[in-house]
Amino acid sequence: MNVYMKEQEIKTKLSAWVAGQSSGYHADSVPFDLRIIEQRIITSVQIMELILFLEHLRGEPINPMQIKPGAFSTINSIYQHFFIEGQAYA
Amino acid sequence: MRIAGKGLKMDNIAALSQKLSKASVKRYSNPYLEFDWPESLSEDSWWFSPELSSLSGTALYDAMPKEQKQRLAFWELVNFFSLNIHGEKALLQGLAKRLYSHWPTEISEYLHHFLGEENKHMTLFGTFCMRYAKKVYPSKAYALNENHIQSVEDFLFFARVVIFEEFVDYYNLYMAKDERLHPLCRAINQYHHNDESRHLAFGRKITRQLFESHAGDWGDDTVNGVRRYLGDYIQATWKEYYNPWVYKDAGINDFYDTYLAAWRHESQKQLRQTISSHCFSFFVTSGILAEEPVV
Ligand SMILES: [Fe+2]
Ligand SMILES: [Fe+2]
Repeated sequence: MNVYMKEQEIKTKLSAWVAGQSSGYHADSVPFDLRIIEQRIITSVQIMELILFLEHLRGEPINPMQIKPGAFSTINSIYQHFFIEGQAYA
Repeated sequence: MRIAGKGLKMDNIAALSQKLSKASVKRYSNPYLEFDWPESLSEDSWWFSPELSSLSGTALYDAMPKEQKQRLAFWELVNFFSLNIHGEKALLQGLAKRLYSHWPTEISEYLHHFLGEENKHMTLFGTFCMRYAKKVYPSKAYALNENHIQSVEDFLFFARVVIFEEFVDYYNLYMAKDERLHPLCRAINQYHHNDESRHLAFGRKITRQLFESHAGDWGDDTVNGVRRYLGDYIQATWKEYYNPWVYKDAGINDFYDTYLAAWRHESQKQLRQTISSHCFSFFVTSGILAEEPVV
């Protein structure tokens, strides 16, 4: 897997991953614009796990100190930050 | 800045601080002179105790040739030193913030030692990582903004210090005694342990004291929130010991899957529980946690 994966494919994987992690969310996927932090769908520990999953999808490490605030708000923003502006985090 | 402390039995802590400051002066050291850094490291040495490896007990680990286990051990040590650096960076910030608050002067005096010692640790860990690995692994910790009242923030700061240092100290002590390990590795672990025993004595005392003084005023929601927070922090602290990029550096192809499998492996759960038990019994006997977390 790498950064060239199609947008829909990446978002679908992220959405399924987030739904799978959340204990209170009973569906196979979350909407791409759902505020996953605000709505407490995932916790800060799960964000660590998410960073590792994103590294896996991107095939390269991420330095959390360089992540912009708001990057984890929604599936759309995660995609935007890590797969469009992603080079900035390498 | 306002610091909680009203109603604290600070006399107790002031007396301990004085005692620890004396000990710090007596053991004052200069790591710049104490350590010899070889030009390069011998390939066939052990740099991390095999039983403590984050892959120990897995079929993958058992099947590895000795050379690969040693290579993995080197990168696990780099990861261990890296997570120490990240923990200590946060520690320095929190300690500096609490200097010359309205707590007794003796506490500030000890915080100076604490800060100075942590700074020296970081130079040791950083020197090792940059010299021999040419890098420090980034931390995966990502803090969401949470606002706490001052007494909760002070308590959580010292509770985090205790958790972080308790886990680290188990590794330090084990590796300092492990005769299979390279002398440089043993020496750094021993050096760290010598200071940590004082930090832990201070950390446990002030954590317990802050909890006893304030928990009564916090209310059930806050106490439950604090417990949830500590449970999360414990998980997050443990996660740092499992790093897919370590496995990649050790030549493992499916490094992400290896990470997922290692974290869930039964022998690793037992290892984490064993290493955590001293820390957990402190938090349970002091009434801070209702029961020992399962890691
Ligand atoms: Fe330290
Ligand atoms: Fe320390």
